[in-house]
Amino acid sequence: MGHTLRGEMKLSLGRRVAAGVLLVGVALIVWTAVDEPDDSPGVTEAVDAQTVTPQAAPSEASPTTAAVEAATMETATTTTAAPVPTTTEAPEPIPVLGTAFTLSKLDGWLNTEATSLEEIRADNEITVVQFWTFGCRNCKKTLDALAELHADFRDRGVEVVGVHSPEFGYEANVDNIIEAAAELGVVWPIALDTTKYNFHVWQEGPTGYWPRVYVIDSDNQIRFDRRGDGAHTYRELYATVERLLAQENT
Amino acid sequence: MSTIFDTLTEGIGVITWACTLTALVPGLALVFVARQARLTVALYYTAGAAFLAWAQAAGHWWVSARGAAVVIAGFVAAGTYAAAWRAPGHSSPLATGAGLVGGALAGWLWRPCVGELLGDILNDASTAGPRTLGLMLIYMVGVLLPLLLVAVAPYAVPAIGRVLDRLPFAIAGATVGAAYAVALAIGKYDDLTGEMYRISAGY
Repeated sequence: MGHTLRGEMKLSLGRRVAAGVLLVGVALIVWTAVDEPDDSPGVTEAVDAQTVTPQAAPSEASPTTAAVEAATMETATTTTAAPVPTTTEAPEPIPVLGTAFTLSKLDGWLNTEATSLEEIRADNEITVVQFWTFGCRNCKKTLDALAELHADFRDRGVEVVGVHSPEFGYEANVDNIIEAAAELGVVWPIALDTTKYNFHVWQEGPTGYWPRVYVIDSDNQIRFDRRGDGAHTYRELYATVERLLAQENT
Repeated sequence: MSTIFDTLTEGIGVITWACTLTALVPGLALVFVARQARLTVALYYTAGAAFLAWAQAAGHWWVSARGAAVVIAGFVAAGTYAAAWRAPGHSSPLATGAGLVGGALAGWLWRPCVGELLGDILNDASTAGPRTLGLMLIYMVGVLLPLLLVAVAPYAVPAIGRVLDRLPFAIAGATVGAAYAVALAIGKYDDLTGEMYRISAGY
């Protein structure tokens, strides 16, 4: 009798835990579905946000991140009216992450008369290369930040190159790419990497990711390499380009 | 704590996305097939998927999901569904193996659209191993939450278990599993998922 009661209580407890897990899980799915935040602010907006919160906690990420954040803070202080104590600490140098590959076996280019990455690099100090595909939602979330970067720096020796590496068959159709690029406001050069040859060459290892963005300096060295659509990633990208440009011009 | 919660919700937020469905749908099918060991299969599937996805980003796994390897993966996938079908209970090695190998396969084939926190996990995977592995597991729990809930539901509501135990559900799971295995083996997996996505995206 006691044994049965204990068994029933155990069963009841297990059932209650399972019911709790089920309810919390369903609630999280519903909550996430109705509360999808738009976390892709433009770069200027993001830098402005940092201006009013200069005491933001330092990132524990890579040295690149720390250096870039320092630079971003520097940029932010120049737009602030209130006097800010100057620091004697020089920002960390932007590391060299390796030599950039070229883009080969392409199906062509859109939005440019150039026919190779080398041509674009020859006309610019810095080249921002992003691997993307128009059906990828995370890639789309980065386009506002890239558009801002392109608008702010295109006359200062910086070019953005979107390497379109399709994930699915319909993304390989050039007409679909042209239509999507126009719809999404992608006005910078697009390299058509239909076979994903460059997607795999640039992204060493067994898999590649969308989106992934690189910054290449005038010596063809990679100075920035990040995956994902994070607003902070694109803030860092903007700041890195700004710093590298300053270095190139000194 | 906030990072953990945000990582979980970022995973949940992409459940319906095409890049996620490629990991979720085969897992759901596997759970439907494993009538006697749904929870074991679901838990090991999640762990296997998280580990392989992390291992690739951290540089601990170097086999690309291309060419002959994918054909072999098709046969391995078929084996996981057969094992799950035959698994007699939760403690069966067949259940553990089917979940773990099936999940690892999904993690290996997974081409995620990378959001903010997943991006951080992938960017730091090679330098902050244990932390990023833990976060990847949490992200994967979010991504595969429907599968885990299907596995837990019969414990909360036995009537759901009685419905899921019916043969048509297992046959439906096995059919999806067979399509997945065949698509892999003949190199049409991307085309199949792409076509589904194209239709749903209206292109």
